[in-house]
Amino acid sequence: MKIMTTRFGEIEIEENKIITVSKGLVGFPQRTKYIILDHPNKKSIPFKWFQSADEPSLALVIIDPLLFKPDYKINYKLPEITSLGSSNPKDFLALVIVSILKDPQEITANLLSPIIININTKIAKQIILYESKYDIRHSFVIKKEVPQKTLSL
Amino acid sequence: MLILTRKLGESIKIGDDVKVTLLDIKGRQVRLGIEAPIETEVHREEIYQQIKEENILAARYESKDLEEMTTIWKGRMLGRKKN
Repeated sequence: MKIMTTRFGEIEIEENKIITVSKGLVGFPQRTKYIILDHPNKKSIPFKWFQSADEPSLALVIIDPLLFKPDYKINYKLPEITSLGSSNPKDFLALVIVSILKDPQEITANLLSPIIININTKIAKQIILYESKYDIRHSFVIKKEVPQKTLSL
Repeated sequence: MLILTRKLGESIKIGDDVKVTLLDIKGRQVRLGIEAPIETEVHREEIYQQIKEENILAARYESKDLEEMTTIWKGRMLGRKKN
């Protein structure tokens, strides 16, 4: 099927890849259908788009938190997760939403509130890990000023 | 706003299936016990609000922002290899 996106124009997607976020993301309760998109010509990078399938302008940058925080832990026995049909971590994919800050330039991820996707049913939820110590803005890359000399190497 | 006074251990009922019980009072903090059906979302308001604002901020990024993230990320990976 085809969906319209503001950033990438009209794109063809496979219907079975649509993710249903039944209650929407926090702040976007009306938008419940999403698709994970590679950035055009950038398949191998860790950042992906979580693109709304029914609102062309709505898309957020997401990443697998284990790529920069291997010890990231989610309690899959939380009722918010078991209500997605399983409590087995193997049935789920957890993704986190990314922000970029200026001065100093750094990339942060919302580890407090991951998007949990049941990979079998494609039903998902943005949950809040109230019992954890994770940050809304967990900084995982800070750009260091590289001296000009090093740059020319 | 409806305002009710409750004593320790007392509850209020909201609709048929939500019950809020005052469990403990310590200085300026109170502990509430909330019984609600699984489909009823219960949130700590200020945290929920922060996440909402962060989502709204994160939803305004354009392609160039993702490309900038990628550049920074790759710089970090190169830096790591050097060490």
